[in-house]
Amino acid sequence: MTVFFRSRFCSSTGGYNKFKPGISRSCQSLVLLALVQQAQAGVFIFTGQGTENYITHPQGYDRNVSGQITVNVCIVPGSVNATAMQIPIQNDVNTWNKLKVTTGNLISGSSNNIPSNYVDFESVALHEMGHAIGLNHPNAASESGLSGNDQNYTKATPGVNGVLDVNPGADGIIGNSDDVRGDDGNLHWFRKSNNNPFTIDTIIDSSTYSRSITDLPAGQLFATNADRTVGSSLGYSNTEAVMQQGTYFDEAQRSLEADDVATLKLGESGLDMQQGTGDDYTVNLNYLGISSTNCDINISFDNTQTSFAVTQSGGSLIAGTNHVKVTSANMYFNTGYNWFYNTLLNSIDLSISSSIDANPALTNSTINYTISVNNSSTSDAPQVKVTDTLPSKLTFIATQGCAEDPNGYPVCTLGTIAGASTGQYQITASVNADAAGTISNVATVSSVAFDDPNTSNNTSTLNTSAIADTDGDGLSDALENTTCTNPYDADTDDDGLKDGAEDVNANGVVDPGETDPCNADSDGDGIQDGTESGITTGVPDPDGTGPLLGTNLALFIPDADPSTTTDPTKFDTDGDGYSDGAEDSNKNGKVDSGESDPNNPASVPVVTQTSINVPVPGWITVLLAVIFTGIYYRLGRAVPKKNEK
Amino acid sequence: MHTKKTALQYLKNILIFITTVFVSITANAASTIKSVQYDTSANVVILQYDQIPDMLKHPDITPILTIYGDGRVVTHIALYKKNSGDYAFALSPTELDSLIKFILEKNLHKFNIHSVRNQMKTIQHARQSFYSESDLTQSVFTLNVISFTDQSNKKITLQKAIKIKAENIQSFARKYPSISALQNLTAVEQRLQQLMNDPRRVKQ
Repeated sequence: MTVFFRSRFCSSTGGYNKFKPGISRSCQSLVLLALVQQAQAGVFIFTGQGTENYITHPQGYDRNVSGQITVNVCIVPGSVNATAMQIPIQNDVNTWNKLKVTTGNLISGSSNNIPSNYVDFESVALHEMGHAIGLNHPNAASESGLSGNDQNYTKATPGVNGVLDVNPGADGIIGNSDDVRGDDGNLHWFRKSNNNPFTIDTIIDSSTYSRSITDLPAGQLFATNADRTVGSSLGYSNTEAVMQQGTYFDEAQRSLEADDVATLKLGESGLDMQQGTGDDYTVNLNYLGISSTNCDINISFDNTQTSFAVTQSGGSLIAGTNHVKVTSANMYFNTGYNWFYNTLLNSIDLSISSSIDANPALTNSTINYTISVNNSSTSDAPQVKVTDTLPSKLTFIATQGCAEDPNGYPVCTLGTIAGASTGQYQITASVNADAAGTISNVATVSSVAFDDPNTSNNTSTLNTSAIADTDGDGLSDALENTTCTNPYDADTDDDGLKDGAEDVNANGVVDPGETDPCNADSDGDGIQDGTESGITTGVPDPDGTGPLLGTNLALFIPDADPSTTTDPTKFDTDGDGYSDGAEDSNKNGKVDSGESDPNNPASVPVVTQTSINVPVPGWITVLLAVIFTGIYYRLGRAVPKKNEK
Repeated sequence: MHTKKTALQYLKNILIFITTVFVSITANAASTIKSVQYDTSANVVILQYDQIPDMLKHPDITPILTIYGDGRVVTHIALYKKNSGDYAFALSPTELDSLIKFILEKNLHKFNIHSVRNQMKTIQHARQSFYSESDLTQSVFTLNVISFTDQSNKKITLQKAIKIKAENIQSFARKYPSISALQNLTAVEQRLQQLMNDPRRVKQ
């Protein structure tokens, strides 16, 4: 079939001059491109005057095939900026595959990561990629020959008068539903129910979308264009169709608007344009990286092809239909601009894992979960959050490592996790008294900044056994029932230390380095273990006036100087020959006036006349005793006793 | 069969050669400019060249290349482009003459969009396929000369400045290599782009 396009723009009858004085020169150039581009297109490329009904499908489409169409996207090897393009192009592929409608998809100023006076490559490439899969501008755009803001009128063809009729209507907003377009032929597929391109129907086919003005809601005059000004007037601020021609530097538009999604899905309804029938398909863009093999869309920088950005597409008619399929697509960019290349992937596989510092955990004890989130990609993963509501058997205490510390519960913001690295935080919680059994903690990672293609590893479930420890001393009831400690007394020996703090490894044995939970003075130096350890308050009574017990404060001597401690497992901490208790004579843990320092071997007790506090080793004492005893006996025979005198 | 094909190919090559020589001769004969007259004042713009990307909103409206009558060349690079700023250098009178003659030899003043349209339409019709270029860049040329004399000593006076607009010239020139007007316009654009990168230019 011969396909022929004839432009009626800038016709010999005067063209736009009727409405746009002085535009005749640009009309010349308009005609030039119009003939090549079939520029009077609607939302689908290749749709031209006299062929307004054309629907364009992406490469790989075949009338006999339904299901998924794969379109391979490649960066041309050897292209300038090939490496820099990779992440933005991957993002665009993902965005088109996702077909997610985003309200507020225009991000400007400090709200985006684009430096001043830079053009966002990802945003422009997203638009061009739309062309490459068959979409065209929903607005009149430059190919209409209109200039300035008039390019924001809804895409249309001139009527019999040969010119585009442009009148913004009563509201003065170009592209809105009250535009007076005379005999212009609408090319924009609009939603029949409301003619609102910022919304989308659940069914997208010819039953819900139309180009016929007669299908407009009552009182409306023309199809609405998804332009940002129109969006604001309808309550959708900072929202515009990606396929709307025109981008601003310093602005990011990296997500799709309803009109973009609806247009592509309309094509996906197949030749019959009925959703749910056998010829439906879905488009899957497949990023092949820097490659020249099996490519459907080729992307490169080539200053001979464009002075900014362009998509060149070829197509062929599907015989016997008013449908066209794309047969080739090349996207070109010019190196002369300050292009900003986003380095953040919008599709990152995060995985989460968790561990606990005590398994089994004891009831009434404090436990620490460590939550780890791994970013396996090469890109930073921003705005990462973990939600962990903690099971009911636990009571939250604090977090460490979250932006919200110490209150990163139930949501902890980890922020940005660099590529190929792991972010971590800790949740500290207490195990409730009645928690014996299995504690199942579930943590889930997410980010609103990107998609995670694999959500199966976004949740971590950690099951922990909880064993009863009624008094909360860190030793299980089961253990305490077989040892000297009391399962209902957190400080059996009332030395100020929990039983579990003394039997640190909770094995029921006083191992080297441990103190005896059943002996308040494990080293026998006369000072209580807790006092030597700097304890000032003892172990609180776990249940107040209940049956459980803590430290008996009547027995416990608090450390009067916790800044200094002695070793509760050593009789003589400083090795000066005097027991700690001999040096700290009042046993209060403080070096009081007149006492020697049990941590300083040079400091020893002062010898007095009434005391025998002479630093004499024990063996010398024994030796002297033997000597004196011998002398006594010998002298006793030779010298008469006083009373014998 | 093989002999026939070879013979046909041989004839085809001869035809291509003859055509090429003919076109070359006629082109040279018709495009040589003997002299050119223009205002040599320092404040008179002789030539302007600009590129306007359809896809970029609010582009800088200052033309990217301006050449004045005294030979001063000013290149303007917008803020959102690499090496932004204004650069200038001067062409000698001979260089300026040569440049303008080159442009006139390429028949910028004769560029006829309707003729180009018809040729492209014919080609597109024959190809029986769809082709689209989105988001083009518009090139705008303005040439302001008073008159020039062609090879036959005929003086041609231009009533007003010549202004030509066309999109993606170089790309279309490749797509339609048989359209000489596009090839000529491409040559002009490439020459001006070379001028913009002249090593003599100095940032202002």
